[in-house]
Amino acid sequence: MNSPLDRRTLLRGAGAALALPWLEAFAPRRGATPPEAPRRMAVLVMPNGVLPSAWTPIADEQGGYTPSFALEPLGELRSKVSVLTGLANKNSFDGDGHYAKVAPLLTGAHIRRTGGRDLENGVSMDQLAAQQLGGQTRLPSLELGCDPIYPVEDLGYSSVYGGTIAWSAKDRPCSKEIAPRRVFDRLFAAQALAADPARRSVLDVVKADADRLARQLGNRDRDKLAEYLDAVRALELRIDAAARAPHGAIDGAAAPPPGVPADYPTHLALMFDLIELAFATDSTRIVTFLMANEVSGRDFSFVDGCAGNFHEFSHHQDQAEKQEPYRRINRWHVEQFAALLRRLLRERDDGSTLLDSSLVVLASAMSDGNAHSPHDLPVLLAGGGDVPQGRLLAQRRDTPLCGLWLAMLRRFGLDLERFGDAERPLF
Amino acid sequence: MSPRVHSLRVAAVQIAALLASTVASTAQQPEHATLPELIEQHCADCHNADDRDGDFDVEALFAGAAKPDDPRVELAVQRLRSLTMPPPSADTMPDTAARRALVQAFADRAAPTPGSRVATVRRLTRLQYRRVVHDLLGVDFAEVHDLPDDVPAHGFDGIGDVAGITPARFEAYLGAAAKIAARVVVEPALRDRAFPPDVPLSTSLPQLLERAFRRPPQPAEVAERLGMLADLSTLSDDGQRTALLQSVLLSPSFLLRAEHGRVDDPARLDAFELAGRLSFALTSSAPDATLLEAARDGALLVPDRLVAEARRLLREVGGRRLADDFAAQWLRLREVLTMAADFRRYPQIWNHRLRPAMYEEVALLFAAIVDDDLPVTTLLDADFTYVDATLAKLYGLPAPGTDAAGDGFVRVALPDRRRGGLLGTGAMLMLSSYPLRTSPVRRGQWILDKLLDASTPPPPPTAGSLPKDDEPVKGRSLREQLERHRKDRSCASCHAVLDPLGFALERYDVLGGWREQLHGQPIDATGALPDGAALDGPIALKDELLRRRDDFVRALAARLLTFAVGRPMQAADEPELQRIVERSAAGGHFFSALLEALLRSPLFTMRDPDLLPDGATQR
Repeated sequence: MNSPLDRRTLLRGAGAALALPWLEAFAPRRGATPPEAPRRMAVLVMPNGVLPSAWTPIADEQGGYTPSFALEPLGELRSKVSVLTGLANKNSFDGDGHYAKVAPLLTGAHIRRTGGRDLENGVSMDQLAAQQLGGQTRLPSLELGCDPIYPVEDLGYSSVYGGTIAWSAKDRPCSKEIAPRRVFDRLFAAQALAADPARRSVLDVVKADADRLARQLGNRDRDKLAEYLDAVRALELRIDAAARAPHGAIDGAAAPPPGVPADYPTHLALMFDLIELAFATDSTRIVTFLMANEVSGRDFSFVDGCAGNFHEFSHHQDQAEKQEPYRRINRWHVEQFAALLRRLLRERDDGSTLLDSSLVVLASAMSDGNAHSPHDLPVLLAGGGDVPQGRLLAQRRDTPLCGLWLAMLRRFGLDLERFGDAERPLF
Repeated sequence: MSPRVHSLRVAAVQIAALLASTVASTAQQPEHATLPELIEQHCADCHNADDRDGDFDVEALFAGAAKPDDPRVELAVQRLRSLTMPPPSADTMPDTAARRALVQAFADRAAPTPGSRVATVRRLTRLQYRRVVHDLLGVDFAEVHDLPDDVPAHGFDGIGDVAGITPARFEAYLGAAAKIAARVVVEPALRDRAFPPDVPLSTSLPQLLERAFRRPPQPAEVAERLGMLADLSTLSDDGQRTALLQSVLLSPSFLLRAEHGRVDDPARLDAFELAGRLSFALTSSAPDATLLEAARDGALLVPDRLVAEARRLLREVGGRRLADDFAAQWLRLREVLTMAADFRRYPQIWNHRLRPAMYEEVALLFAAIVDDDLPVTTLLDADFTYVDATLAKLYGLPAPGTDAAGDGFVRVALPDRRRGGLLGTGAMLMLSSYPLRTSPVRRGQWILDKLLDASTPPPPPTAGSLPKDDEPVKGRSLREQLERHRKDRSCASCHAVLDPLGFALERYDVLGGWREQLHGQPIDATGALPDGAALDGPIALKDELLRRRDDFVRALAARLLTFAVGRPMQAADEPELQRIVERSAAGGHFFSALLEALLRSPLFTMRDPDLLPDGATQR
């Protein structure tokens, strides 16, 4: 499945190149084989921000960093993971509350304040990448989460904003999958779908229904019918892709049990298994994972000293007794990120790893949750190819986060001049 | 005359007229100031052109033409209705009638955007999907929970604005349709029901489509399906039937509830659309044969018939469906099933019957109001409730005897007014608590939101929070800590309302058990609302809410309409909501009176209520 280039990428990544300052190391070198572009991305988003004093690492003299309390769990992975500081998403500054910050995290757009009518955001970077890759995999992208959309608005912003980071159009939030079994079924359903001899005929009939119905409706309703038709067409494309690139046997992959696990660590572990499986079988190359909806009040009793409400800890009021569980929860999220990276680092048959050809990000839409600060967002980047590894990339205050998305999208072959408020890629 | 004085005077005329009607309906109110004084007195001290407190200049709002759907209007209405404005530091407070007049005056400033009161096409909720599939095909599709979650907005699932059909969702529908169709074709009884054996498909298919699409099918919809079968002639009979059923269950006309209005008058619903609104609201399912018949000949468009059909449906299916769909969402009752009090402090939570019993009590109460046609104010105060052995123990009531129903529940007369109505239920009291302590603030919010349709803004991020337990901190009780918090001006306006409402319920613990003491100290359940009403304990709170019963009925009507129509009520709906409350009051606020008032309102019968049936605009 992987080309010999992957092997070279691995060797380069682990070899002498790392000793050089990162800018130089990752500029194309004369005579060298250009590193292979990354082919997959996984963007993980954690809610409620982080405690800056526990997060920001100290720079070392080689351009790397000494891990902070929250980043310690990276351990030996530190050589693969860069820490970005100083980034901000300008279009999230003027909206109050959590939802107005997480919804535009991957879109860089300005969202409309509404409880439901005329939702407006932008197209998220993962969906742009999925559109670019179009049809190369059996599933263009996967949108994962752990919580259903909450029933509460936040300061006049619909809860859809607080629970959706992937947007396929400015008014189309992508529904995320929260049940591991549904993700598994979706990954491997396409061949069964294609096997039904009546499938095409049935889809033709319902498409004709939708066309007829749309003609009778007003604009807002027509948009909904257009979304319906696009969903039917997406399914047809999936069937085509499955016919072109059937997946082989899924060795050792047992379907997870149905339903949503009550135990959060188990839930995350299953989702990570599925991300690894999706990448390993090349079922999709684009994954977003909202680890919990924004304002999550999850009880972190399973982490020592963290019994209580996550969101309330994040409003710590500079009180040590709340900061302590807050920073431990931050650290726990980094542990999870590291757990995913370790899965992607398992050596494959040809000696490569999935991480060699992936970009994996952990980010939050706020820094200090106490004040809902949108500055100096916590961002970790791991992966192969020509992106910086093991570095502390300290940027000027309020450098556009969208510059990171632009840098990633360019590596996915998108010929974009700008993205959101970024006019140039970060690297 | 300066523009400002002029505009205030114009508004004064409007509000004087309003006050006249308000005063007329509440006979013994004192005489009221005209608007310039009301505004000057209650709003303009802070919200003027110079100070612009909270970035809100009331003079500017009343000076120019209002922009469509100005968000400031909704905000002002919310703050007035929640009693959080004027703030407690104000010299005088408007009384109930003046407050209502102010709300109306602000509401009148909101010019609706054309089409803003037309609901967006709705997707079946999971609950509706399961019911519809059951009623249409006889299949109980319990795996409906494998479909992606519903997306709530404005407190309810199934608001079209946030409900689309994404690729992931369509695939889930595809999987569901395949399973349902497979079950129908292998079970002879179900198969013969969908495709009667002695009836040609050209006859039975239109009938199936009419029930599935909730309207007569168009000729092309039938013809294309028959054409599909011709193309699939190599398949077995069962294979063909499976394809046919899938083409029904995946059609947008099945999955979506579209309303395009009458061909000659798109502002009005046609009879089938009206049948759908009624049926989904009351039964969570598609219209039955009788209702479709009434739609087919147009009889349903006569208001009396619409009301009669509603009564028939409720008689046949009972109020329980409305309780499990509307009331469960309105009160967020389903959350009680998964909420957890701290088990070390409240070991009763280990009893796995407790939380389902809490849900059941409220569902039975709501259903009884529908089925026995009780006043809807029974939700505020009732002399009975429903308990099983578990709840009876929690409430300190005698255990139900042998006359309990199969589920162990029995209707009991209450010895006093501590229980009875939503406020004394374990469900409400636990939903508004934290695991280790009660929360007067959350209970206050619950009362404002659910019972008065008024919300307070969330606290600013740096507002701080109270301890998770109710142990005194530095010798200060929870009440004393909240009193300190209230000294901060930015906190005071909300907490002056929330805290007294919530403290009135302090004699109920986290689970709703009664207590007289906390940490050895007697409970203090006193408080005073900003407009002067003194509260002490739940009975006084009930009396206060009963005094505001019209506000409660308005809140209930607004939520019922949001649920039934699929869009939130807005400032422009206010006059019609008031008319509904008046009609309901004239009928003694019995459930049937409120229902009839709702069904006769253009907010229910029209697709676009900006255009009244006589073609005139609303104002």
